[in-house]
Amino acid sequence: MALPRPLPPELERFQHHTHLRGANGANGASGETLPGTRGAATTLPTTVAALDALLPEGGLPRGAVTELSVTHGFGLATSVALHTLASAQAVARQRGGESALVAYLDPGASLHGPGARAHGVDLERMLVIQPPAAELARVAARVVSSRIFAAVVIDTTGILGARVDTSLAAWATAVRRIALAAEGCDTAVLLLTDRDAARPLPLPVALRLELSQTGPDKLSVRIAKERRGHVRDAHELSVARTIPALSPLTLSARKAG
Amino acid sequence: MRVLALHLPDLACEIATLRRETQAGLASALGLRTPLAVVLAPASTPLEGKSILFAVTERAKRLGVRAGQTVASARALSGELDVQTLSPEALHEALGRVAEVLLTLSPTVSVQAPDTVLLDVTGLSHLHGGEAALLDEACERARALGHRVRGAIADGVHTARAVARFAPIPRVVVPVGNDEKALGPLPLAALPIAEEAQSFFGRLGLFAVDDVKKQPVASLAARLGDNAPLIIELIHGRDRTPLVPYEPPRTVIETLSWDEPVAGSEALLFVLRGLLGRVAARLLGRGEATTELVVKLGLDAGIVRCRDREKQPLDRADEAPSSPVEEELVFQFPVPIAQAAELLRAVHTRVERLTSGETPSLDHDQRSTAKSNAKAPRSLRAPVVRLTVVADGIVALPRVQLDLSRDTTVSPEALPVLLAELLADLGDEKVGKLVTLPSHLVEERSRLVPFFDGLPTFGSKAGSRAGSKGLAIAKKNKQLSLLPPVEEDVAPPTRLLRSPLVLTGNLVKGSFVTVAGTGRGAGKNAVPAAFTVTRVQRTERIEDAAWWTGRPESRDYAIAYLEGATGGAEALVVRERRTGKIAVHGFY
Repeated sequence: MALPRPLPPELERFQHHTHLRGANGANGASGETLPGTRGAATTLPTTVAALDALLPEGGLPRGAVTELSVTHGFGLATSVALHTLASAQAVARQRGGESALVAYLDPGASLHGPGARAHGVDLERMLVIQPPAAELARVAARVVSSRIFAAVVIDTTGILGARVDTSLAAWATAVRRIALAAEGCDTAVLLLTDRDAARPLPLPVALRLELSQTGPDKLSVRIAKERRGHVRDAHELSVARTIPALSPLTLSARKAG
Repeated sequence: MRVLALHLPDLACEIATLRRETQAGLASALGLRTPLAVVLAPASTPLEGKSILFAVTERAKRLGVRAGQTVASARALSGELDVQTLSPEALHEALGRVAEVLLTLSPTVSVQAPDTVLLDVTGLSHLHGGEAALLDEACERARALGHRVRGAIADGVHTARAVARFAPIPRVVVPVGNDEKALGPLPLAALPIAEEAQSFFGRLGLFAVDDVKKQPVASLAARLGDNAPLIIELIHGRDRTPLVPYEPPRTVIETLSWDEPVAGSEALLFVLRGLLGRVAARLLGRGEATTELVVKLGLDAGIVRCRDREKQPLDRADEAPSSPVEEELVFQFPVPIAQAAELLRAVHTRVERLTSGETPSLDHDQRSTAKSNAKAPRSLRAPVVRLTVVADGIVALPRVQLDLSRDTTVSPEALPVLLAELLADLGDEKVGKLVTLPSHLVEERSRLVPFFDGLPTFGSKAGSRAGSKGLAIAKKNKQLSLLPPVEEDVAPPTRLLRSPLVLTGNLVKGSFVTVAGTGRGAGKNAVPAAFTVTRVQRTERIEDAAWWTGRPESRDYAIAYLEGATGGAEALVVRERRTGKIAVHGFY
């Protein structure tokens, strides 16, 4: 068995924050590209290996909308979203350029800079927009249609104590507009939604993940919708911190029940 | 020297026609067929029967009206003749607009009233594919502004101007050294000869420049007056007249007014699009861009007064209303913008919202700190009769060098334009990037700052305001970036609440706690939700932090896993040691 190659320098800092496990389970990328990106240019890995292994295409679809459905803003959706933004920036750096531009639409104005930085996000290349909840859909469509950003996170749920006062009733049309705007380009769009919010129609997304934290060290992930029909039951992942109280979360796979 | 001259023969009539059409209203413009004549006089001068006509339209000419006639005699020929007064300033302004769109063709552009624009094109023709192509380009730019134009290139200023005005074909390139030959067949009016002298030569049967050239110089000099040396040099093909460069104004103003008030957003946006197109053409022509745009909507003063009187108490009904009759929207851009589509995109949303009467939804913070929108009115008090666009803070247009090593699918100007649009729409407190700051207090470790460093501008008071503001922002951002990176002892939360949620109960493993403002209901009336503390990890203690502020903070931090009915989350919990109050400060 060949020894795994060390990580490229710009990805080494991630090693302490996330476990980047290749197919052989050892640290480090086993090729020139990030694990999961070889032959999968249409997907964006989240760099959370266990989660990427669960996803049908090894990552989140580019040029499409992914819904992260959580309750009360829990379920580590923000962490997953920040990991994805960091991944998009790292991929661009690996191509030899500078960090890609990413955007975070935060109507609740609760996103914390140090927390984002700890996930590996280059804050200099992340545009944060805090629109009023009523304008969120319109601003999101505008941002995605600009095709400037490698990844865009749209937070419609907020967090406990900083909830976003928006109804998902009108979001079916908005999501369709956003999906059309993202089609054909490399932008990965993440839509954070509240699972308990009333929605007369399911949102027309390419991928829907239901996340919930079932314990201090447990995250439940269920693929509720996937464009190729690979719907899966809930998978429980272990939440671990490699360095106590210092790093953002890492996830390792554990078979469900 | 090679000089390009553009002659605009109908400039005065074109300006008067445009003014007449907009005043009459767009709907009735197509029905306007009355002949038009223009008198050149200051705006305040009343029109009299003895006023002399400066220019007439083709339709008026067909009725026998000619420039140089008095208004009375012209009206005797045509009773429906519409005579408009045009000020020399308006004419100069129109010539200036043409000059501005030509500034990218030549470093030296000059304006000669009443109808000529001149460019020094010495050594420039090869950049445009030859002199003929250069002349075509210049003519097309002037035509795009809605003017009929004739052009010529020659060795001298007077020759080029004369050929442009009098040559039988509208576009002529006089070969180098052929000025004398080009001037020969032209009429005497091509030379700067007084009318009296022209009449005299006419009586002698001398009508063309060649005819005059054949006369003895001494007798010519006696008749030509003070301009004799210049004219004699000209008729022999020697023209050393310099060009006086045109200085474009540092503020670009475009305005349009009409008689019938307009209230709908569609019509106003249509007009705004046209005005922004003209502003953009002038800016691009100069190779400049703007960092500040002011859109002024002139309201119908009569309706404003009526509405103000309605609101005034009866005992003050006779007092003059004090409401302004102009609404102003100010847009400041993070980077200079010059393209019409981008300018429109940046201002479109706010203008549409204002004219449609839609109240923008603001959250609590926007309502209390709407600094950038402080002057923005919620809705119009009256229909609009005038729209003015002022481009201030003009700077050189930034150029982006071609760089094949980066992603070229997206224009490098796309982000600044998007930012300008978002800032105009949401305000500068709501768009930016997060920076991390070294502070003992968690809530002061993160701040939203402008995405771009400010750029200095010049040329106007507003420009220097924007420039000094931009420099202040740049200085602050640089200071922030020079600070050492934040070394977190504790994993920072991804979400931080601006108002921590009070936690009631003991923060020990297994205990029940309630967190205010998280349960059913809204705002302060929300029923607190109950959680079980599954895990607690004490992480940090700070003692008398920020003591220099006079309000030192002493706190204990802990990370607690709170499990509720519908799921759990890790929360950053803070206990204030002085008061004993425990609150949830953020989430992971």
